Amino acid sequence: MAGPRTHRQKEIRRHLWIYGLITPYIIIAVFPIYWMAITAFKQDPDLYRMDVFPLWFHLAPTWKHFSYLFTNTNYGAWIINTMVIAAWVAVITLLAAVPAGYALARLRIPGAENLGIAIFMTYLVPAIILFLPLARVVSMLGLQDSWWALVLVYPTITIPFCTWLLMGFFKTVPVEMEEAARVDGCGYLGALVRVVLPVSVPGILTAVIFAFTLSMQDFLYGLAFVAPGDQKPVTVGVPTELIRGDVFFWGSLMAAALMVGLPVAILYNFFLDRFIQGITGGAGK
Amino acid sequence: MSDLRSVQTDPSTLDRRKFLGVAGAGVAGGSLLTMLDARKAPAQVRGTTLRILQWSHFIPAYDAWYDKFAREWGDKNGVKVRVDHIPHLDIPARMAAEFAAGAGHDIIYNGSSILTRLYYKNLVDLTDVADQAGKKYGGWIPAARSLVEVEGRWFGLPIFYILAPMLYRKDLFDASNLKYPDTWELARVAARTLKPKGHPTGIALSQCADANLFWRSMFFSFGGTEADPSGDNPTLDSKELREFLRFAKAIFDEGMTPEVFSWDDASDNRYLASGIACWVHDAISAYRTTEDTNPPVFQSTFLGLEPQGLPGKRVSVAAPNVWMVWKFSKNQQAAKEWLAYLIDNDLEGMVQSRGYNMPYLNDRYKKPMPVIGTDPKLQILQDFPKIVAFYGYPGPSTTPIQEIVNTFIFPDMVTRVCRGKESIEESIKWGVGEYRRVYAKHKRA
Repeated sequence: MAGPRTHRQKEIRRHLWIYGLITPYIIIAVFPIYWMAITAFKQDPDLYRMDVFPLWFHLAPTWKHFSYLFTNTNYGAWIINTMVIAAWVAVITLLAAVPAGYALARLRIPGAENLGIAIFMTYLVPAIILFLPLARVVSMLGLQDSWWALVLVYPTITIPFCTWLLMGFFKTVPVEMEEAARVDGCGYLGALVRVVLPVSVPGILTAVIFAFTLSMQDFLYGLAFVAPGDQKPVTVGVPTELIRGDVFFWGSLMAAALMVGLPVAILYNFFLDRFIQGITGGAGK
Repeated sequence: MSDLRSVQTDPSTLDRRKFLGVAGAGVAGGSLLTMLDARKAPAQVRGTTLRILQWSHFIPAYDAWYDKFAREWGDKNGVKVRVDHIPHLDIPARMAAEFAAGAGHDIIYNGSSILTRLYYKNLVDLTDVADQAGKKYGGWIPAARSLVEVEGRWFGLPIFYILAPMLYRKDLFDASNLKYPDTWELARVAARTLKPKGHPTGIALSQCADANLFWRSMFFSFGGTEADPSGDNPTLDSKELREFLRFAKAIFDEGMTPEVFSWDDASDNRYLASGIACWVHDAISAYRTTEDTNPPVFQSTFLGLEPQGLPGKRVSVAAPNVWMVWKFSKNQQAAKEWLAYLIDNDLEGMVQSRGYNMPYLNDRYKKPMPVIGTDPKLQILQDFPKIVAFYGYPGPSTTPIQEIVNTFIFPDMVTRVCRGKESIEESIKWGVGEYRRVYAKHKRA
């Protein structure tokens, strides 16, 4: 007859349950990354063989798909363009969304709740509808075929979403903290800058990450407004150079995606706790 | 009360203003024709900038050549040339943006999905350039006109098209004593025989360009038509359509696998290059991909003419490529000059594209043609112009046809049949209904 389970056995059993349950999700989440990585290093003849186990190498791994990116395409320029665009968009978004979110959350503006919902609704208007009128705006401002066009148009996506996000976040900051700041002599702006913003770092960081990644995900605006090879963001440049008619340069496509995707994933990981905090409520919790 | 209607004048007389107008147009037209003939850009184009938008060609070296070739022409004629490349499937979106903005490139390229008829009111009439090239090189192949002509004028310039021959594995055919797939029935027999041996075939049954092109080739070769010769009325509903769909279902069931429901345009390239496919019906990009990635399979891959559906009936639906000039362009003259120069050098383009670019001008088919004329396996491509057709066959590529192509109605109808969840008649009812709906919408417009 088995004796009573020790605490250690119970812990092992609990962990087995937990890992057993999350393993399928991890496989589903990680498999595309693994596939991307292995394809990026496979030689083309290895890639096209269907009679062998596809998830490992049958010919020596190669760097040639990576070197192709830097020797035969403007990949370096696309990465720089993307980062610069995303940085500008993040700054512009914060400059607009922080005061807007704060005003809607705190200043008791009549209809603020509905206004917040209305702002969020503009985020739901699909780009496929907006790109035509925006084309006119971009052209009138003389920004066509320059990445500055994207710095102009991406905030139309990021500001509504981040305003709505920050609005919810600012609501969770205790009013007493601001009142205390005002008792100590701060105005609305002073209370915002000295008290509310410092405790809202997780929310602001979440807004920055959203602004940054939304800018990095777009394809349609980049395609519609920027055609010169050296001005494109990476999302447009990669398919332009590596999908040619019905020929896909799979190795280089995956290498390009891996080099963009991995740093972002690692960055996310660094700020994961704050990101979750930002999404789920913030300082008021 | 005075009569405000214009006073009728003798048509044989001209007032001073009319005379100046007519004479001016005559001089301008004459000068352009002279310049086009002499291939020397006029002084007015010097100092201008020409912006060209086109696809990313499947041969990267072709784009490198094209960009350099355009720059050199520009240097010679004092025109700054900039060529931008984007994937061909994304050009309609970019075109819509430029149309909305009234600004953008001077020359815009369309591949496969030709939007000349949709935008012709905003495009420059290129009839003079086309006429000149036609006179110089023995006229245009018949199918060319259907792509770009609206109300008797050419609003685009076809420069090359892309063929889709049969690419079959001779080693597999020989090992099973199969005849070369000169008819669709022989192709079906081959697929039925070789599928159990691990070598099925495949034609995309999904929303991609290949599905639009290749199932239509089969349908037209079975005597089917998509519209009447005027292009005004759909003619899909026919006994030929029923015959074709019965055959499509049989060839799918016997010779393909359900993978084809998820294929994209590159899938058949991979299928051939992997050594699995017994045959594919595709552009020679599949052949070139195999050459680069699987030399033993490449050695055994041969090309065949479009298979016959009905005896003697071969229709090969090709992917057209057309260049257009926006009316908002401030450099229309330079654009025309460049296009005329490009046409003059289309054979060089054929060389640089490794035989991928097929010209539209009759004289270019003098054998041996560059690249394909000297390669024994590719020589058969020289015989395709006689059987080439485009969407809307035998009518022109009208706006309703373009919408039908872009919404994949035809391959969707074939897919419904092959999935087996609907009867042939039910699928036809749906497909024909969609055709009628699209045509009626455009007629109302």
